[in-house]
Amino acid sequence: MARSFHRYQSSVEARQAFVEAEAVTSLAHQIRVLRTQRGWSQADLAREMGTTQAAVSRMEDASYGRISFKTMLNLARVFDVAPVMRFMSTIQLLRERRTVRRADLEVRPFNEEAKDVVFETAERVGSAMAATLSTSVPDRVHTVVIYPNADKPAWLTASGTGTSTVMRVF
Amino acid sequence: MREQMPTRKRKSADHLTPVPAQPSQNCDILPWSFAVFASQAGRSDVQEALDSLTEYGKAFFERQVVYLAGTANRSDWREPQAKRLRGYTELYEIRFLDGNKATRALGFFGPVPRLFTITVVATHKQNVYSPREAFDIADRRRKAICAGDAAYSTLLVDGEEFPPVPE
Repeated sequence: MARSFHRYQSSVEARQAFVEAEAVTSLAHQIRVLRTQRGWSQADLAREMGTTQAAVSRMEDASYGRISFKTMLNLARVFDVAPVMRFMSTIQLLRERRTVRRADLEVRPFNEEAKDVVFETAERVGSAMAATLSTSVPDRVHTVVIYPNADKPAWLTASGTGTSTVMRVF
Repeated sequence: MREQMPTRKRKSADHLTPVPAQPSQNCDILPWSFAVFASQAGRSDVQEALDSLTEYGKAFFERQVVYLAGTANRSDWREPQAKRLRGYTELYEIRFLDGNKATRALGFFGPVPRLFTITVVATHKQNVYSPREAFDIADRRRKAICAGDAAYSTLLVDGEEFPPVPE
């Protein structure tokens, strides 16, 4: 990894190639993961999107690499997830995409995830966390705290298994 | 410090014996590790072919490997990212672009668990592979590795094991 990093450091072409290849490859793989996570065939996804199976096949092909903004929004709509279209540091991207597992690409639809969302008061969240949150975010901001299973506070354990999301309204 | 599979620089006779994949952080977390075919002399034309890809081809190949390394089920190694090749036992190809050339890294799952070994790099145009006998070479090399008549070494990118060990 260190040698690859030095190659990216010394060559604009190399790092641009990484950025472009990562963009098209990650998108193609994630579309397939989201589709199969929902148990859909390419034809099922095509029907949901109002397009053809061949078009879905192209979307899952990293070599195609020409998905439009409109198609991204359509995919987000049918998968019931949010597309995040923003620029980020190439170094951060290198770190985040050093290795990728299927679980990293899976995203639950809103209503499925919503079952694990709990609204809580500052008192119940606990004074330590409340203090942390109130110093790190401005007032009247809705803060989402996601607890991995292992880090769940005792008061939340009864609410279910797996990852839980606490929406705290300041 | 993790142990590595024999490298193509290894000259002693024991490099011909496939060495079981060593337990490592990579294997513990990622479903698949990757290797390349190496001749009896320890040379890997596969590694050389991958090293000589264009910047974009190299990046595209690396990314496909990273995503396929995390794709546990072989049944999910499907078109258009990868493909099981018809008519050949256990042969698969990883698909990527080198510039605008459709390029294929042919290989098989094995010879040890959780390892995919690339045996040939080929280009593909209008259903014709170059080299034309790419499938036969890939299959012949698979058999040679499995019989212990050829070696394999860790896939390297910029001289480092790839994909990297997860953090």
